[in-house]
Amino acid sequence: MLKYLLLAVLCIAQTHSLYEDQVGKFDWKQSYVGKLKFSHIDSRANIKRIYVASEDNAVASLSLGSGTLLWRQVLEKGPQGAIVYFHYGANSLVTVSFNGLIRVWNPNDGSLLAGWTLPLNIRHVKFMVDGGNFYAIEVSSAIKTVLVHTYKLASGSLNDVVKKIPATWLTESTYCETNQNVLACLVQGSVKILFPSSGGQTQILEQSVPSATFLTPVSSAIGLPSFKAGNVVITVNNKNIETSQIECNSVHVDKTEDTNKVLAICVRPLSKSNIEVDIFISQQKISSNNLQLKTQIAQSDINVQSCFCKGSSPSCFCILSSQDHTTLFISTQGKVVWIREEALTSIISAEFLDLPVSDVDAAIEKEFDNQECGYFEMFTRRLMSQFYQIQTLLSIESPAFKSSALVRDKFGLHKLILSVTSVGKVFAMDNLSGKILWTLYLANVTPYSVTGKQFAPVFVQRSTRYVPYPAQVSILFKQSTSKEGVLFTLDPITGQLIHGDQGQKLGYQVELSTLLPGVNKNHLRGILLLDSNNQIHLEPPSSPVPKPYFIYKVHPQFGVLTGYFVQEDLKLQKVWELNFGQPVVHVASKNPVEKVHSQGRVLYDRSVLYKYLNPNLIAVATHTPDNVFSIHLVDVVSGNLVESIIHKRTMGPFHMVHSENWLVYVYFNEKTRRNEVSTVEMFEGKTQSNSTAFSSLSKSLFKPILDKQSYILPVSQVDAIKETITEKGITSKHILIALGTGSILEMPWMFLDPRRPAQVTPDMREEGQVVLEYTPELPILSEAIINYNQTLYGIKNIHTAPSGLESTCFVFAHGLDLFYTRVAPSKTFDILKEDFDYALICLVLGALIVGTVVSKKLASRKTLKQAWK
Amino acid sequence: MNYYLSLVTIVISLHVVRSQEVDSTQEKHDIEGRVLAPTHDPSWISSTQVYIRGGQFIGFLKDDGSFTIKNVPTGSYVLEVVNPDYQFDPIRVEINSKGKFRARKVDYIQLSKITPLPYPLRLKTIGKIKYFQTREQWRATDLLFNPMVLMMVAPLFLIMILPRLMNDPETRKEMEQLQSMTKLDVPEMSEMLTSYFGGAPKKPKAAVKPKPSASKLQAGSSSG
Repeated sequence: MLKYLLLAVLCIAQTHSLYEDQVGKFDWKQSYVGKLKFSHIDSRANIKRIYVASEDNAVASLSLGSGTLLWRQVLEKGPQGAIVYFHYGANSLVTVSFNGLIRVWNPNDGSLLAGWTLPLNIRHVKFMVDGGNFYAIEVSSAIKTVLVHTYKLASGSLNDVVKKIPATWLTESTYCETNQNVLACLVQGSVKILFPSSGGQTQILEQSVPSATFLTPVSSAIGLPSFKAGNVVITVNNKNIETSQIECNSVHVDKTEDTNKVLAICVRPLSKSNIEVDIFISQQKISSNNLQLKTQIAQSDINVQSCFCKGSSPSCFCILSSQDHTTLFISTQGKVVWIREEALTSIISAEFLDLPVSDVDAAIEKEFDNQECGYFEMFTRRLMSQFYQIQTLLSIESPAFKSSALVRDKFGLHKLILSVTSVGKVFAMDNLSGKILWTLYLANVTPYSVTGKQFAPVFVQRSTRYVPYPAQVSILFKQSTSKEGVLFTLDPITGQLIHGDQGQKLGYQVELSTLLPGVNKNHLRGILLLDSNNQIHLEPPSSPVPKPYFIYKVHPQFGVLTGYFVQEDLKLQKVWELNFGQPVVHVASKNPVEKVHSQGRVLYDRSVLYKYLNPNLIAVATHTPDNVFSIHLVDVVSGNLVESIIHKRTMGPFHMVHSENWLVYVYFNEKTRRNEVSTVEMFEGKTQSNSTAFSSLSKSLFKPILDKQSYILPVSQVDAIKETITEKGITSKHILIALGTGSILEMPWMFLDPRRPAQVTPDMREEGQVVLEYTPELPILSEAIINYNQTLYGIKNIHTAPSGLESTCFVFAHGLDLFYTRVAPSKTFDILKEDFDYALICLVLGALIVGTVVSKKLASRKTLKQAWK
Repeated sequence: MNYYLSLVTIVISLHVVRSQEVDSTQEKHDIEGRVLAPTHDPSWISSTQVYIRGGQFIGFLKDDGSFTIKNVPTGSYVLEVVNPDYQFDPIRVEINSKGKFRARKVDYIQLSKITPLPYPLRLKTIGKIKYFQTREQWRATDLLFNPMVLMMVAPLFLIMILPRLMNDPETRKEMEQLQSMTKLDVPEMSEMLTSYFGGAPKKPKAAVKPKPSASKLQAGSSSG
């Protein structure tokens, strides 16, 4: 008991949690729903709202005026939870998931009203909700019948006998869709319209559309179910068919309030930031508006999700969803009400970037940048920069103040987050506010994908440090059609593409890409690209390649690792090959910006255990179908297999973090049915072989001492793990664990340390070192949850980056929600606490001064008195 | 010699799907239960979900707090209640091939220990989650033990109280004794001190003696 108490006390001492008044001070959260799949605007209710269902299996309600999220429910992950049908009506929201679950939601707060399972195979069924009934329509070409199953929406009980509509015209290729209470089928150049929910003899309407090859339901006002077949819009108006021919990919069908004429709204993108909205009445264009967007969208297509119209000269509001996952709410009068950047749910790469220095600082930098100029020129430069400084001091309207929003601060806490999404949209966000600074849409690109995980490499070629030169970042994608590489080079501060909108087409398929360590004379770091013929390409071509230079390649499906040596003539020479014979599930290398401050670890007996700090070490995880999980530590320069660790009866998801001289990995132990964390720490021993630089080749036979330990992680699922990183590596490391329940847990390395002794002896404690006794279960403390009560759904990854302060590390987590905060693993030792009492210190100093003066006076008076006695 | 290594930015990660993936041939069951209201605010219903395997199966709550997790194949699961503000203990639910349910407490360390729980499940909160450190309240003792306040109080003590104590004959004796001891210990230092402070130790003696001239002289020398 005492042991646990002690542990608890230590835990509290170790975790630096927030105070309640610090909520939202260092962090922000943005909630998204993902690409819209279905939506409905409720314009009749008192509180106008939009109800949406997304590709990311979320059902949500948005406010009409601002687009903010009112409530959101996230259904089952993956294809099982995919929403295949969505309906709003009569104060209920109905969703049908791919796993056959029908759920009825309360539109006011998102609570569940009813939930039941459809006893049919969902793949061949179309749905319809009419009144309080739910209709599942089976279109069976085998028995040439349309079967209509009717269920009570509230309970799921079968309402009626199955209604059979004979349909002799059904063939294998017949394609049917539902919209509102209408079923439409496309049969060899004609569209058949059925009303499955109406009682009695079923009427079948027919419309011949000879050129139609596809049939899609179209957004339409209630009572006007419409479909698009080819370029003909078919509207069912009170059991009559009306057709209109509009050359437009995306339309909404509505009717005018007084004349009851059918009107169509057509939206088409003109350019990346321009869309055109046209209104047609009886195929006559009555209005056309051009909308300027503050974001970039895909030019290919835009989809009208739903609209509502009012007034006799129709004024409509529409929700649009573009191919790049942007959701727009516009009025047909030519106004963009709000934009939601739903592409942010599909971030694949993120990078923290420095901001440029202010103009004044830049002028000072300029003063010293050119060494060759003479004394006189340097003197005039000094005068000019000082004059400029005075000018900025005096006038508030100087250019330095105008650009002050994006200027580096003293502590390096203000940065830019560059996020690349899988749809090809790039975002730059301000890390302090989360505001989107610019967006960029890269057309016709797809990300790379390895073992099911998508990624697009981002290379920071030049930071903002080299003042006359702007910062430069390159993003590597592949072309959707040819699969060849495309390199997009841009200035991350302004979002300007350097090689134009289409990027730099490489003309070969990229197998491997990496940023070179050396810089050229313009302070630009080169990119090394390896094509499928093992040819090396450099970008820019004149980039210096350090010598000797080694690269390695992983073939995940075969489990083969190959090491190469880059020769003088940029030819590859194979040095080694390792064949694990098992599929590789994870490769963990160290963060290239990581620095290790302490070379060793002082033990309680005052001896030093030196860390095995091999920068060339990677950890490769393989997993066999019979659930054997192995970790191999490989030196990728020499090909030396340092160690292999095997865990039997384990299952994924696997997560791994490799940093300094240690490795942390999480897996599910099938035998004990729990998540476990294993840690490995590597040491050279009590002597250090080479204290200045580590060489992989000089001691290829050297084996480090390994400490291993496993702990129970008492959580049901881990979504991602990441280590904190600081500028100089002095601050202790914490591990951030994203839990399946939507929390990010900050776990001090001390708890995961494989050297936690089984029993703490008094002399271990005497040395003033904090040594924790081994306990099998790791504590999950609510104070260590850095996102407190802001649940984050479906965290995909966590990014960490050092700030300008040694104590502070930035954290950016993304999934369906974005969350940014900063953590201080060893507390903020380098800045004053924010609750530092300035008033008290002033008061005390003042009192001391007053006290000194008064007492001096008193003392002299007393001595004078005594002298006169 | 420095050996460079390309840091390949390919991060490979695979969510190996657990072998107990939803199998259409397997028997499917519904787990039922009820979450007891942790608060009177009705908004807790929509912010609470019941998760199995981090959201692979989800039970949403109805108005009365009841939930059903549908279509769960046979197996052993840890059921968690997710609410941003209230904590609930996880429960292990086992469904055997006959469709029988068994609920028990989750014990990750003692795997064989079984503490059965009633089924259908009744989930009760174990309290509000404490995410934040409490700010230290202002207390008088804090102010007193503040180093700065101590810094102010200690000289005050030396100035005001110490001379009074010196007037007490017993303490004076003690002080003298102490001084003599220090003399024995470090004679050189004490010599230096006496020479430096002049006749300071004689000052109280002079004050006792009714000799105004001597006291004047002493006072003059010390102040000068």
